Amino acid sequence: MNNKPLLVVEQLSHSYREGRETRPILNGIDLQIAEHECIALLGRSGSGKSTLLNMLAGIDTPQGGSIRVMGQEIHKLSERERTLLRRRHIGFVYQFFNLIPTLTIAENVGLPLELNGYPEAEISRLVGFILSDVGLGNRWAAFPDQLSGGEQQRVAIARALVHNPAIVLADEPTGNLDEETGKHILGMLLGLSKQLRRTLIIVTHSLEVAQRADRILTLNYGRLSEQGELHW
Amino acid sequence: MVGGRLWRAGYRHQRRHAWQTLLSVLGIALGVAVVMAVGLANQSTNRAFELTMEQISGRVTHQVLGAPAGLPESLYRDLRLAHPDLPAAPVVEGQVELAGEPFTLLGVDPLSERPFRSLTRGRDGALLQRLLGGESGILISAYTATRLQLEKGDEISLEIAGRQQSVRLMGLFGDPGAAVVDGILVADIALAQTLLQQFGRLDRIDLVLDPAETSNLEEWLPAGFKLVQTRQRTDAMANMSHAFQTNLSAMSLLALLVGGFLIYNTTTFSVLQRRRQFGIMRLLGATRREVFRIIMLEQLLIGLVGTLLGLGAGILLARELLHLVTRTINDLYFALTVSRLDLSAEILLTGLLLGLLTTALAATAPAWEATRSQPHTVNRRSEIERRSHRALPWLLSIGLLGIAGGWLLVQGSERSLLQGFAALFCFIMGYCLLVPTMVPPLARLLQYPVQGLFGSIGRLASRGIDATLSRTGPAIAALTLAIAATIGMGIMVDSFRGAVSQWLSRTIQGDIYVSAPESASKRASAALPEGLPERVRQIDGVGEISTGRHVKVESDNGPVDLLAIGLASTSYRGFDFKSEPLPQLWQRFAGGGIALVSEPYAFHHRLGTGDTLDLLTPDGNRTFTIGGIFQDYGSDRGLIVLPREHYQALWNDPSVTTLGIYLASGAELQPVLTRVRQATGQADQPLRVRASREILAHSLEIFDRTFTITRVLRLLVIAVAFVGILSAMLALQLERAREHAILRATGMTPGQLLGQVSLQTLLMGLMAALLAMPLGWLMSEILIQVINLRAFGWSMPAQLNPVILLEAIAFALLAALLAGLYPSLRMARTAPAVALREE
Repeated sequence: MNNKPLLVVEQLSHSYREGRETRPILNGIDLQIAEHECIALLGRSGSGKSTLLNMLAGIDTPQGGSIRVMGQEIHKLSERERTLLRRRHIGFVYQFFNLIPTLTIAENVGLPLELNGYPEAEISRLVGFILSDVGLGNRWAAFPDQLSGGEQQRVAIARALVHNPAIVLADEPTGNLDEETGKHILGMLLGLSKQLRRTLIIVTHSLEVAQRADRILTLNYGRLSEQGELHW
Repeated sequence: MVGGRLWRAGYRHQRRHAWQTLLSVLGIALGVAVVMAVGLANQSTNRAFELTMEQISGRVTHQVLGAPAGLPESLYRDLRLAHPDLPAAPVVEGQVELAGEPFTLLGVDPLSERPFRSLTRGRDGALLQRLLGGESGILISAYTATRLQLEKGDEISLEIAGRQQSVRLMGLFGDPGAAVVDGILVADIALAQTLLQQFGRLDRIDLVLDPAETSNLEEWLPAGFKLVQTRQRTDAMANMSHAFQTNLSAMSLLALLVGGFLIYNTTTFSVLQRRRQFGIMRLLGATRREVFRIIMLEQLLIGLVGTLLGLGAGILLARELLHLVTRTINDLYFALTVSRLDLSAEILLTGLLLGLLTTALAATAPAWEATRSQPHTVNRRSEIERRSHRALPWLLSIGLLGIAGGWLLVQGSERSLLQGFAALFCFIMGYCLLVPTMVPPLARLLQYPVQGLFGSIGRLASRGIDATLSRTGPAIAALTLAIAATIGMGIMVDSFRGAVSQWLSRTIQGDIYVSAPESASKRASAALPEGLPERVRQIDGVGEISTGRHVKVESDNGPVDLLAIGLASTSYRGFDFKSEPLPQLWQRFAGGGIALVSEPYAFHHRLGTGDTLDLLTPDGNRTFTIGGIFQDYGSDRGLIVLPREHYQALWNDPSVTTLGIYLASGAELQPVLTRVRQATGQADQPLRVRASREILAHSLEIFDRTFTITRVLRLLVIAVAFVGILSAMLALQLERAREHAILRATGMTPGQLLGQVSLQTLLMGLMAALLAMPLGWLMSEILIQVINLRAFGWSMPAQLNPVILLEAIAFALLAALLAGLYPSLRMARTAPAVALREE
């Protein structure tokens, strides 16, 4: 790692209760991610990838260990402080797009900027740029249900990047798309992240996707290993 | 700071669910309209009463009152001689009817009036001179004259105790643009005495007294007369209708409560529908506070629109209610004419605040709940349901606490009406919280018979209720509350009517009754012609007669209705004592010194059998022992009964106001009735001769008329509730569009889907009806045993009429079916692919 660590995870542990039993999901995870790095996180279904991502974003709280994002120990922050940290420094792309159905494409993309207090003129300008970048410059007035799955995911990527966050988290962003569209979307996400020098952590099942990342991490039975062997 | 995009998202959601939003607006509008209308009607009658009293009392500080038959004119003369510098004015006052409306006829002495009232000054300042000049006629307010299209110089016909009297309208007082004075006629005292047939008698002497002078005057007053403060008397009159008006206000609040429930439901559904949206907002960095604020502002905006519409509708509704409230006050309490709504900024502001506050209260819980949605669980619907089920023990505990609180409030005071209403609301809210906890076991109970009858569709329908408890719970609770309100109010009115009917049948022992015509239901007080009882006794077919004299006398508790009775041998059966009366009651009653008091009188003045009370007789105060407390629904202020012989001796008043005729053995009613009518037709004054069954029917008619407003309010509560149910069901079914689309995609036909959705809403209706029965019964028990007793002093047994329960079940099923019909039809027609699209 050439750059200073942006994200530091130490001895992170978490478990879920299933009836009377407790199922450990993360077990003493240590991880450091540097600025502008692109990380692929692999693991079988239910291995805890999404849980780890949620914890890095501060939307889930670990039961043990610590997470430092940009020098701040997020588990020690209040709910409001965590929200503000996420609002300013984190962008999220989901498998199921999670666009707001009652807002147009442009309004969906502009939402993080508005929450961050950007003036309206600046929002229009930035939204225009990013929508052009994702190839939807002419669809800004459409509503999500008027777009295809691939187009919706492009909107979600634009929304995750528009406010210039330091970290972009992508949770199986191609999982809900056909192979062709998936490749295109992934290329766009990786390309834009590199171009904009963002730190990208992408959860995926695809080795092909993973191979395009700077590092590959594998989550197996709650433990994290670098370029580890996959047990599908 | 809440951003424009968050607003837009909310606005477009409301626009996309316009019907839901509209129903929400309609619900709060109806709730506010009912409260506003009742508030306005109450305020207008109170204001009219105050204005009338201000005009009648003027600057009067004290009044000299006396025997029921009035004060002798000589007392006024003696007073002027003994206290020449004291401002004093003789007054004669009575009730008359003009154009079918009740009016107070005020007879005044123009010479003594100047320090007291401005009425005789008139608009042109010449009225006093004309009155002094011996001109005869009456004065009426300029407002009333305009309203009734009367002009100076018109001959007008007044109805006084059944007689028509023609008088000239001599002039107008008051400014048509000023505060409305309505319902008062002013005449010279001599004319008033003639019209009211009160020759040589005054009703009172008005005074303007310094506090220091009161004891001097009290000492000077001969025995049998009493000096009272005007304010005290006006307050006592105003208090007469206070309980009635409080009850109306509480019932209107019930409509608002149902309206509030409706907002709670709509907000809950709105939040549930957008839970995912709020989750995304939270993921993108919207704080909890921002999400809370956006929901609250959005709902408050809906509440504001509903409230403003409700204020407008309330004013329109108030015009109708005003008529009903005034009629009831006239029927039960005192003559009052209210022809104009007293619309003040204060009441509009109260309505506005009430609407917004209810909205805010109702929306707080769902809005708070929305902020709790964890961003990472936006895709997990099961999580919402898990949380709903996890919340059940809490709901159970809080609900039971609410009910326990209600019980404690009932036990905490035996008299506080406010506490009674607070208890009622605690019970209602507590029970409504319990409803969702009772839904899962009921759904499981209904599952097997429904599955047996309708197969897999039945299973899906019943399981769906438990599986989506977060949505079905509040909807069933809202429906339960609405049905319970109709059951509770239905049982209360039915029990009351039953009790009154039984009481009337027991009280009206005679076969024929004779009295002077009296407006509405008030007990007759005009005296019958002298010698009439003796003449009637001679009529062929008449066995026994009972006599009654109804007057108002002064007691240590203020003015009170007194009935002096000369009983026939079977009249005693008419009394139903609420507790054990004194031993050998009737012997001791006939011997004098014993009074019977009605249940309301005993309740309001905390009296029991064996206690004493003081009544003012012409010879001064006289103490009576209470021999028994009897049931009486004739007046909520109470009644005192004395033997007529003793009353006659003590008050020196031989008059009779009612004659009860008992047929001789073997005599037939109709011929005797005809003979009595012939005998009374020869009297100078018109008399009313009626068979007991006519009185019974007439009394029940008045009862039903009195409860018209209750029925109107009940219908309005039902209307609000129906809108609530429609809204909840609509939201519920629309919210499950995707689930239904999956069923359609899996192979369910549109008909099967329609059947499944309709069956589910019917099951919810049935559950609500079943759950509403205990609450309805509880509400009726509190209304009967607590509210009615504390407000009016009336106790009565609850009568559970199965028709009311059947009506409630039918209403619940019909409302649920109707409410489920539109969404299920819509769903059945929608292509599954459209509903299946995630976004």
